[in-house]
Amino acid sequence: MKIVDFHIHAGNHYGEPLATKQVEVMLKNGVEKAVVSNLNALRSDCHNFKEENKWLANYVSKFPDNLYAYAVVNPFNGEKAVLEFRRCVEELGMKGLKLHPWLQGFSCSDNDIRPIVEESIRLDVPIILHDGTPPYSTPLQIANLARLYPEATIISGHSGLGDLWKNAIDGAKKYKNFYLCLCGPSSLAMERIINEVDINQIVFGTDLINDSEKTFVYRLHKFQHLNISEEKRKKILWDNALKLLKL
Amino acid sequence: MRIIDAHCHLGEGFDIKVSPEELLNEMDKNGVEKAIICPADKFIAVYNKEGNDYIMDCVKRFPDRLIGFATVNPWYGEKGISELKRCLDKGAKGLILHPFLQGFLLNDKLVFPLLGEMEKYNLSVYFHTGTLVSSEPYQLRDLAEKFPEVNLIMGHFAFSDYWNDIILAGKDVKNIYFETSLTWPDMISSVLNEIGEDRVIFGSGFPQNPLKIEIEKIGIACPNKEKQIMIFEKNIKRLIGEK
Repeated sequence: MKIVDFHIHAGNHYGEPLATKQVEVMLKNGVEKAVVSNLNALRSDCHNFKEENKWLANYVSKFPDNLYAYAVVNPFNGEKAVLEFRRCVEELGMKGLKLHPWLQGFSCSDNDIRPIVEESIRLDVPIILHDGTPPYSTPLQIANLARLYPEATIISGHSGLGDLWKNAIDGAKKYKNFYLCLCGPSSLAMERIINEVDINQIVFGTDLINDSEKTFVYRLHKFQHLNISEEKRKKILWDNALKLLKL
Repeated sequence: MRIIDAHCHLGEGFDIKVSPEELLNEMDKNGVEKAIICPADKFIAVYNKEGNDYIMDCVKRFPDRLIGFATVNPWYGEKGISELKRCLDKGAKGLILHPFLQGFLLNDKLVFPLLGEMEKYNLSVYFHTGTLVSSEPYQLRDLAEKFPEVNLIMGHFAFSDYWNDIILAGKDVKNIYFETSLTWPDMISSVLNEIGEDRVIFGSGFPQNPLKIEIEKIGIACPNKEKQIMIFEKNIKRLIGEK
């Protein structure tokens, strides 16, 4: 079965980011496509988003059939952030936006994020956000963006992790435009999510960083071991992801 | 390789429903010799006595395979101490506390009497950790420093977003041990590198996670067989008073 990994990273704080090596690890383990975000850009000390986004665009450009990019901006930068997001999608061909409220230090209830979400609607691309971590990144805080903006596509990057996966289910059941990326919760939690949430709202991710294979392999095997139908597995691993990426 | 699974829940709770036969079947399929079992969610939160009786009954039925950890909600005070003693006298090999389910701050003086009792029995306390506010690594450190003679197990490596804290919280406090369920392989590798294999303990978190995948995770994180023996068997044996 073909696999899209909806949640991977590249960045030089955890080893050397080399697209060739990352794709090698992916293909070796049966993952054909993945969506990458730039870890350097997600840190609160990032001041040059243009340069970081350009770097990632270049990183994925060598593997146009395997790697796709998320832009990163900081909502605190207002109009500049909106313009940079637009440039990333329209000029650099990026597929969406990655935000990390906890690491970047903003709240999803703050007005600063609103122009960014509004821009995502205009650009017609999803926003994926880290979640599972209070006080800025709980599933329902993220889901609230989906409530405020029914036309936006909001993705929970971790489906609530260990403590809050039930709230990820609550959010996804209420808001059709709130998607869950299975990346981190226990097997029991993933099976409950898959059974309770509309299957069209679920994708899969590993959190792979550069070419560090250990966690990648563990999360892949963990997903493959789930007791779910092949039909559902295919939707999560492939169909839904391609739809979100418009491929 | 002998494998002891240091963290499993059994019984019919709110979120889980699993029998000892199902666990034993998993253990047989995956070469797990023994498992430490504790009650399911609602029995940890309120129905302690029923939960403990169920666990001790499972141990009685499969004494060569299952090892019981009792639980007591610290808010029960004196009554809780009596319940703990009852279980330890009947053969429970440790105490599991769950600050989130049981509603207390991990290092609150509310738990001191229970820790004191465990010190008398020379047995360990497993703490659920990783949930914000109530179940933090530095709270565990504070408690471990106050009770240096009691071994404390940091459940789930404080999964998930305490990865910044766990090594600094536990490294120089020798009575803190790290249990592997829910965490990811790179985290285990980091703790092995920074702290060493004699303080890492294998647990699956069954039925939250399948044994097969969790055992495989240890192999991914730590290919060294000598170290695996410590993680799978030796460390936990020491904590439950076995040779």
